[in-house]
Order: sequence, then structure tokens, then C-alpha cells
Amino acid sequence: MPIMRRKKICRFCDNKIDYVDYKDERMLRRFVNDRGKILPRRITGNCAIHQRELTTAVKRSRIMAILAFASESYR
Amino acid sequence: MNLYETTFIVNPQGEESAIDEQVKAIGKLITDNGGKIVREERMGTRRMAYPIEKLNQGYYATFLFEAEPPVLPIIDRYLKLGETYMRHLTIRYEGDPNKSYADSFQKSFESDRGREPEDDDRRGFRGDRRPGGRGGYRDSGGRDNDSYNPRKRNYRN
Repeated sequence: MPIMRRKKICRFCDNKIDYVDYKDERMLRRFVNDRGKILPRRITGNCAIHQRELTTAVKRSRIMAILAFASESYR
Repeated sequence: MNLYETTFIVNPQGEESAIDEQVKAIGKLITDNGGKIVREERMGTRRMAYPIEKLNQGYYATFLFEAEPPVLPIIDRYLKLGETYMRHLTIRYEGDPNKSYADSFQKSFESDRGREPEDDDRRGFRGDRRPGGRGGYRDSGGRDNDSYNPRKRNYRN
């Protein structure tokens, strides 16, 4: 069974971003698959802290209809 | 004084001035109750990810402001009751009010050019798992519908 690739660095840590804005649709989209589901950490490569912040940001943006809760295609 | 951020969606139908009035009304509500507006952002009319109140578009506006906690229920009440406010969300703002986060993200993601978001889903496939789930070391797990033992004669169908 392949081990998680540790070479992937957290994008947020790398760029010293300390706040994940739920209103930033373009950024959030990258961490969501074509059905609108949040991608797991082993794929996004985020660190635990930022993955959690990202998750709450995605959920908030779903509430505010910036992202969808579920979708058939990438929209 | 705490830093809060309220984002809300106004019904985009009607005149631009009328929509603007609705947004300004919230601003006024904040300042009338002792709040201080730090930043006002308008995302304008944009498509929503799903229809709200049968509409597909909404006018988004955000206020970043400083206020005392008792002000929040007042704003919340106003947003909840108003018929032109379709959604609202108020949070305690964790970021730096002076920084604009939109730019910092753009720069950091430039290395991602040419990568489709869908590509990410298949990485990390960990293989099929043996059935039985999380029984631990005690039980024998669940049913295995795939293996076949010719010695056993109790296969139905």
C-alpha cells in the first residue's frame, strides 16, 4: 500500500496564508471535486490546521451559495 | 470591540438604487448601534450555486466592522426579517482587517496552472480493502462475497 506522499507541502503554509476566506470561490474550487465534495487531505496535501480551516470555509461558502452542496458536474 | 464580518445576499431584482439602499441600510444599522465599519465589499450580482427563493442570482455584499457583542442580534434580526435579504452570515473575523486575501491566494496558486481539479481525485487510491470493516481483532469481520471455497457446500443459489 503506497504511503502518503510527504513531499507535498501545504499550500497555505508555504505561502504563509493565515486566513482562509470562505468568499473566495476560485481558491475554494480547487479543493473540491467535480461533484462538489471536499477533497481529502491525502490528495490536497494540506496540513491539518489548514485542512480544517478549509473545510469550515467550504461549508460556509456552501451556505452562502458560493459553492454548491452537491452537483452533477464541475460548475 | 470585536471584529465581525457579515455577508448577505440581497434580492437582485429591481433597480440598482433600491438594492444599494438595502445594503446601505445595514451599514447604517451597524453605525447607529455603535459599530464602526472597517470595510465594505460588494461582490455584486452573481450566480448562486443553487437557487434560493426560486432565484438563480443574488447581490452579495459584505461588511467588516467592529462592534460590541450586543449589536449582533440586532443586525441578525434585521437581516432575518427583511424580505429582500435572502441569506446572511455573520462571523467573528479571524483574518487581518488590513490585508486583502484575494491577492495572496492568486499568487500562491500560480504554480497550479494547467492542472485540472478533477485530476486530484484519483491519486491516493489505496486499493480495495478486505471486507469486514472495523471489527478489530476480535470478530471475524463481515461477509466476503467474492472468495469461493469448493469444500463448503452451503452456497445458496
